[in-house]
Amino acid sequence: MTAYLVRRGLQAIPLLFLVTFMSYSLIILLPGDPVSSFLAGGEGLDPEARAEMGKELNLDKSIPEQYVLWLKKIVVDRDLGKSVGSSRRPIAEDLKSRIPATLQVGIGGLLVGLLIGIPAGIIAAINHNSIVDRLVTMLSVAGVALPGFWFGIMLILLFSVKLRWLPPFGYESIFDNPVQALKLMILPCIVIGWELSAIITRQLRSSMLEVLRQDYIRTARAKGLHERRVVWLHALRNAMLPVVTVIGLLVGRILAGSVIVETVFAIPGVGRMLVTAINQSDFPAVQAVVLLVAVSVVAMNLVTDMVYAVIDPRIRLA
Amino acid sequence: MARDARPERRSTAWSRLVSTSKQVLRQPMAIPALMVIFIVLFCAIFASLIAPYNPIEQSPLDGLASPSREHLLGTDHLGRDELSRMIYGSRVALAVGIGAVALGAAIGMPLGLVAGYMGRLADDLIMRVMDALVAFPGLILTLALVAVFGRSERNLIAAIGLANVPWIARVVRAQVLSLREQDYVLAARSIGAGHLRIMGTHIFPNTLAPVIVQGTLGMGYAILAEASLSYIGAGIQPPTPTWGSMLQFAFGFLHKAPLLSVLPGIAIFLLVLAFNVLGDIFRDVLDPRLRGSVR
Repeated sequence: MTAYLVRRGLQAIPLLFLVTFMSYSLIILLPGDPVSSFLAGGEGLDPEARAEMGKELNLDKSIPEQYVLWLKKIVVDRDLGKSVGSSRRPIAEDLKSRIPATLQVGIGGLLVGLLIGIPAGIIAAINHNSIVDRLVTMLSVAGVALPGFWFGIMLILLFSVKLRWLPPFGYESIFDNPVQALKLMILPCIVIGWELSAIITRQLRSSMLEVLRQDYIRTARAKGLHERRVVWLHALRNAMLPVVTVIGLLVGRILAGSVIVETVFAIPGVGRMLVTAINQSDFPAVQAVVLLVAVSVVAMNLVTDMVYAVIDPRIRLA
Repeated sequence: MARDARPERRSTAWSRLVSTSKQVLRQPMAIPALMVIFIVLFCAIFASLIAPYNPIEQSPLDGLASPSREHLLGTDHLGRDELSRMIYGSRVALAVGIGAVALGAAIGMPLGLVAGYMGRLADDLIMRVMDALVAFPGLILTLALVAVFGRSERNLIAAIGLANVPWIARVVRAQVLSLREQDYVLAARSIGAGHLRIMGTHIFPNTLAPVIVQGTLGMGYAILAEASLSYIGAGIQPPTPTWGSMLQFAFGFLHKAPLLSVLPGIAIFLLVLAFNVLGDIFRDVLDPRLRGSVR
């Protein structure tokens, strides 16, 4: 088991290097002079500031050297550079202040996704080929096609503008003001959760159908166990295994969804930071968010694989 | 002898196409999905003929007008006809969808083909890069590329297309891995056919089925990505009408004119749904092994 975990951990290292290099190479792709992209309008014209920025970016060195120095600065000094603009705020500080909001809404969305997706997948599988199954399948197909930002607008229109039940947008930390935070979280979490639930439902339904065909399920039924016990105790535990993998894959979707959801609901998270950075041509901030997202996805995939190996002996023994 | 075989091969391909089409059309959701796609395609092609007004012509005095005989779906805050903008918006949606998938296939197919066929170092190299690309969620990768290259329809197609590449390369590689050990490939190799010939003539045509499936699903993704990017202001810039940017403008008038926030969203939803449903049908008919896979 330890050998598997170590082997899997080692496999992630080259991928991490590749992902960080790709994030870095955005600077190589920049058309024209990269220094201008790292400096604000007036500052970009000042020769002294330009020379200093050129030195900071190590533009006089080869690309592999530039990359290694850039990575060293991030890993050792925890320095992601400074934002372009009048504030010249350190990006690492900005990110740190925004991560809690993204986490809060992302975790909330994942919980909503699981709360809808798991029962829906089970119900569809145990009623295979019935109207209920078709309805659930149709809803999950529709869930993936629904534009998140539009769904958010429709929820605001219904629950905030028409019914006036919930605040339309804003953010409050769950630790500071739990009641208001929950009220503000409901709509964005539904938007994220709805899409996730569609994916979880599809995955759980197909793995549940697979498990329900297995011999040990037939044996459980043959020895007279109640159907509910067969489904919830014997089938679900095994059918949930592939779902664990999918949950790892969903981290990417949650982070991509946060860009949209945080824009619609005015949540000061990492996704909104990316949109603001793009609109203000703040290239260093764009690069930092892209790096953070990609590294998070690789790390989550690694954790998922390790969890999968722990809960399913077939993986680590294969 | 080779000359004689050609018409036969063509007729086999034709009959396979006919039987596949029949199988697709037999699915209950195929006709509604195809109808939605054809309606949008019709609107996109004949936009200048069927749109009642110029979609970018402003008439501020008629701003936020309710649906009427003059303006069937009302007007936006600048008095532009909503129906005409919806019709013209279909052009961007389809152009980005088709362009991005075509680009994704043009790059992803050869990469998957070489990785699967050559194996070893080429496979490792190509697929590790694809794994790394997949670590960037599509929308984030697209946003980053738009930030680098600027906001234009061409750049948007390139960025969304690039996000499609690893998914197409993966399905092609998987298909090639099983094909390269087939008897007919071994037979071609035994009579001295070169790698390029085997890849191009014997393997490539058989990888098209999973690409059609992935490409159709990719169309839905591309349309959704374009709309999302236009909504957050990082997509195609005004005054070009796009469904996403129409929703962005409409959001500011949610209280006064809620209808403006409803219609473009329904259009995006139905078109993406149609492509996803069609993709699922293609998967069931062409490549049942992929059933249940999650993108």
